Amino acid sequence: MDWLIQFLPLNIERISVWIGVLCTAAIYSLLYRENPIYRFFEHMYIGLAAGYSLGPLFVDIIYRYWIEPIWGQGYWAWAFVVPYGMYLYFIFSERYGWISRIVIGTLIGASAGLFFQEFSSRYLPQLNSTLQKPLWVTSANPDVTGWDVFGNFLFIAILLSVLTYFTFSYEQRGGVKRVATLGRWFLMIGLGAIFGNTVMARMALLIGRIYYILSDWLMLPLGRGGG
Amino acid sequence: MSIPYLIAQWQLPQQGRLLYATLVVLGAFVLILGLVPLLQTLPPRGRRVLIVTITFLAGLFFAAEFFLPVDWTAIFPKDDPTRNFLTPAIQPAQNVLQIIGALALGLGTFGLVRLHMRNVVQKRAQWGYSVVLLVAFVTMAIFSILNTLSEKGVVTKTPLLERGFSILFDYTLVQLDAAMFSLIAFYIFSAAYRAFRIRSVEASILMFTAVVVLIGVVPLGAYISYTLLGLPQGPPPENADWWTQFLHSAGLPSIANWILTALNAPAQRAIEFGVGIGGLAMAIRLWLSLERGVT
Repeated sequence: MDWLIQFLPLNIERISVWIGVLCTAAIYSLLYRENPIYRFFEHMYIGLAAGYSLGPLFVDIIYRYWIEPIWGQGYWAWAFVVPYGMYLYFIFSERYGWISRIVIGTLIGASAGLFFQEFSSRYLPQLNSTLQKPLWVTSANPDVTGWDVFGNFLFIAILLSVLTYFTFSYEQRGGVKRVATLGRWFLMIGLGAIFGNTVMARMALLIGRIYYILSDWLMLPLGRGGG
Repeated sequence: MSIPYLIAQWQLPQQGRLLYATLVVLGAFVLILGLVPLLQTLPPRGRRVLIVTITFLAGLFFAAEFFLPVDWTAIFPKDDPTRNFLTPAIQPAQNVLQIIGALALGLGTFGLVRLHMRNVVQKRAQWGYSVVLLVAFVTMAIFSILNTLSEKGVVTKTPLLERGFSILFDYTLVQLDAAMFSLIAFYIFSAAYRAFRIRSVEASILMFTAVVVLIGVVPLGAYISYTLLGLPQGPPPENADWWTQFLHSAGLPSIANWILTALNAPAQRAIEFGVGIGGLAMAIRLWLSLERGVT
């Protein structure tokens, strides 16, 4: 009887938990088939997600980087940023639509410039570390074992074969085609590992849901774990 | 010191700052929006030149800041020798991008609301779901904005705001989010079945790797290897023969780890290099406005 009283949604905490379970059950109802309950909660989800984003991603940023510097610290030059950004909203006008492309151009140009930075700071160090892998044991690298050398050869072979597979500038024939086929097989190993990890991540979410239903809703003593 | 940085640092006086700031903002709106009729007089070619120039300059700033040598004291003796003359302006420029990005998010939200408002007003098929979306959007937007402002001390955090936001966010949005993404767990198996049904070398390699990684990284892999098969666990003892060393690394967790580090890592790196080179080519095309239809 005590369990039933605690279980029922008779206080705000239990109502909150019941809402969570209702949401989960409604989404899982899709496993049976497409139905109005699922579509109701699906639209609610989109509405909530869009509404939530306005707080941390719109108001927070505008307040922190625009309102606070102007009204709080008196940096008046920032006043021009929002009106300039508002040009984006001309996209809905047939006559003035092209003006929005000025701001879009700013974003695209800046993204391209930032990508040059990213390429240098992210990809070049990777290339550097790849080229620095020792392929034989010398007195300069006495700590390198035969197994390390084998691993490095394998690393370079896989890297080059996969890159060969991605070379579409000319028709792959003969030896190049064979290397590209090998590259495709190695690529499948990589994709298989990604697939395995993705399944794991989704299963972890599913376990989290089951744990929530069993522990938070049904209040079964499961111990710690889940999500 | 760059001129944009110096302008960005120019402050209004403390006395009457609220009034001055409001007047400056109103003036900025009038000035920038007043430019619209002027911009409209540009011929199509002039419009394109303007957009291409702005795109190029925006990209040039970030590229130049990164690639220019840091020590400019020969030209600007008072400058800091550990950074170039553009570096102080990089943070304000990134803040500008953040603001424009936020406005772009507002644009997307506006588009979503406009679409569903139209559904409701014109009573299109299944317009009831649009009502649900709009009600959820407005309710959550109010609580989310108030919650954000309360964290900044602009509005008071009342118990109603706290509880309402908690129900909407923790007990509804987070739950829907987790349920929606965990739903994929069911479909991923059916997708896997379809993929692996194709009997080819590639599908077999993919399946084998996925199964070994899946079993190897969970306790089941350790149970099969060390309890059922009785393989030795942990690193091999020093000076062990090659067979002992092999047995110590033949467990499913070790194989899964070797696949991830020795076989998967170089394949992923090759993909990354492909993405990087492709991204670089695309960035150059976008920067120089060679991609028609975007700018």
